[in-house]
Amino acid sequence: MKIKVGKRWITLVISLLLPVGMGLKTTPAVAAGISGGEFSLTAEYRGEMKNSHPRPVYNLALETQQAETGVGFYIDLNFGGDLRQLQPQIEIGEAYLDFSGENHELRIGRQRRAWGAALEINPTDNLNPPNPADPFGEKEPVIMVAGDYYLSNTYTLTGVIIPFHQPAVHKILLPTGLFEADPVVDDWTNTQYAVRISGKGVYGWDYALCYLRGFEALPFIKIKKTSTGPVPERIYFREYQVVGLDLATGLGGAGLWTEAAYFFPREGDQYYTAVAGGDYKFGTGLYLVGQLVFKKDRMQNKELLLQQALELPIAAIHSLRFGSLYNTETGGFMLRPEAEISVGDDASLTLAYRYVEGDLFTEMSEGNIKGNSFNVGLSYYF
Amino acid sequence: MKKLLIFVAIIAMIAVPRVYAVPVSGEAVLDKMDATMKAERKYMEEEMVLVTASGAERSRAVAVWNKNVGEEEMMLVRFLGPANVKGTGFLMKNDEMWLYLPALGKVKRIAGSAKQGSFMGSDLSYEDMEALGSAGFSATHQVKAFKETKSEGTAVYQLDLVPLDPESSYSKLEILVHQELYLPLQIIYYGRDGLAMKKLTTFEHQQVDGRWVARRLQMEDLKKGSKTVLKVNKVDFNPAVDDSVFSTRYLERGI
Repeated sequence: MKIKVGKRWITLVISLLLPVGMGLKTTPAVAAGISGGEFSLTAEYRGEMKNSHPRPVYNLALETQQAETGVGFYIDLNFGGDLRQLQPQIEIGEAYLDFSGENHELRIGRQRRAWGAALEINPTDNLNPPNPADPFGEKEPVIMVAGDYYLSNTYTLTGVIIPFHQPAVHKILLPTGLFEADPVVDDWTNTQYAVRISGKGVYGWDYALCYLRGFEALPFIKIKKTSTGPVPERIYFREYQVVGLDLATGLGGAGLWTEAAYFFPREGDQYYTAVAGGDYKFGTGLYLVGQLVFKKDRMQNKELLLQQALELPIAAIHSLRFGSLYNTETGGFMLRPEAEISVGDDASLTLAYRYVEGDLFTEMSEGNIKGNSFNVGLSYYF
Repeated sequence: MKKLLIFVAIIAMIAVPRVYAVPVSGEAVLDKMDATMKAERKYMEEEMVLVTASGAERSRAVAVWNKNVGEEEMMLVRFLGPANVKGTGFLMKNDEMWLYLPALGKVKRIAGSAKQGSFMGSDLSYEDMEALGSAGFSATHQVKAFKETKSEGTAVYQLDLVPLDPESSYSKLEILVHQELYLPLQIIYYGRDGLAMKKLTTFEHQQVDGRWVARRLQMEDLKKGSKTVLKVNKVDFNPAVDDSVFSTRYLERGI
């Protein structure tokens, strides 16, 4: 086991040394100070916590980055916690090294990669695990080696290697209790990888084709039929392959896109997600987005989701946003009104309400949001 | 009667040479103004101050690269500050536009309709930025009226332009061009309803590399009461940048 892990670290070390062999400057960028950050204070009122106080939370995100010719690094640290307590939690967000040349870029470390042309629901974006508490929010960074090779100013070839599997959740709640899923064995053969070719501005189209071989981010329950009924036989993360496509263009002033991915698990049935949407911006600044999501989930449930969003600038510096999601299969829906008030060049106040009724997705483990909430946040950027 | 003839003769002597002293047409003035403002390549660093109708001010620092050769019109904008928008990039290649938001981590195509709207929350539209940046007005507008006049004691040419593009937000532009500098001192933009929509005023005219440049521009929205002030801190008419700068690849990577 130790030898196997060692081999994987050797791969990482080779990846780190690769740019040297590619003739790049490897002068380390040192002594960089804090280059930016955000300090935020938020308070959230949750509907299901009727008699409790809102949890006042603070978060200080510090970024530091340095870029010299060919070499750079980036790290962000988050210090956060309950404002009523003195012990902060510290976590690393992204931390990576960048090696760039004339036609390529190599990024090694803990990072996020966002793929796809659709709004919030991106079926082709499977490199980083989603946050189950907020499936529409920012995904979790993972350790990966990601390289972009620019075939031209229009076409880019991307390759990604993810040596360690990082799931979205480790445990799953069943009627009989909370069960921990079998982790993916830390083995050389379980290395995840993906490739993508993308073109932008090709006869008025942006497109991308991608392939991924990896493991699902959410646990899967293998059911065994017994005389007393079906019982869970194994809870684990299935190996799967994903083939995806996204397209975006413009027509009559409107933006149009489609994005689809087909998932081929090693065990069990195949499933898919396809998204089609469009947006339009009016002369008044009103921005409208509409999107349809067709899904056949891992449990083979078919569903159609309708998603909508709008943004309206107020007095040029403030904005009102409204988002909604409706699942035609479950009848579940979510409404998200939000106001962002600019209180200075570097500060903003956000008021957001989330109303959820029913199940947003047919598959419970997908990260169904429960309960209504009201969130107030004050952010200062520096 | 004799006195009247003498009076007419004097008036004619004064007026006729005056008429022939206008050696230019509206088209020629427009071409010369474009020649002053247009550049095949241009780089500018600007401070954009948004002033709302209530007087609140927000400031943004931007770097703008323009390329305008033949039918090709390209613009790359990078936000340098403040911190919450720093790193945001915008690329326009003819009718196609892309936006890069660092928080999103990817380049997103923008609907073409956005071109008629506000440029990054300012009182300028993408259409205004394009014309004032490097594209000029002669290729996209037709001169409908031309006359010589004075504006605050300065001799100017007044041009009435009509956009050739039927999808333009404007029905008419009324421009006052400085007779010596060939720079627009004022542009009044009329909406499709025929009413004055916006007013651009230029200030602090200086020579840079032998060209006259307005160091400060102010666009007022006459309906909303807001205004945007553009302070040009740096301008380079021959920046040493490769054509590949105007690509989504550079939008994402930065320059």
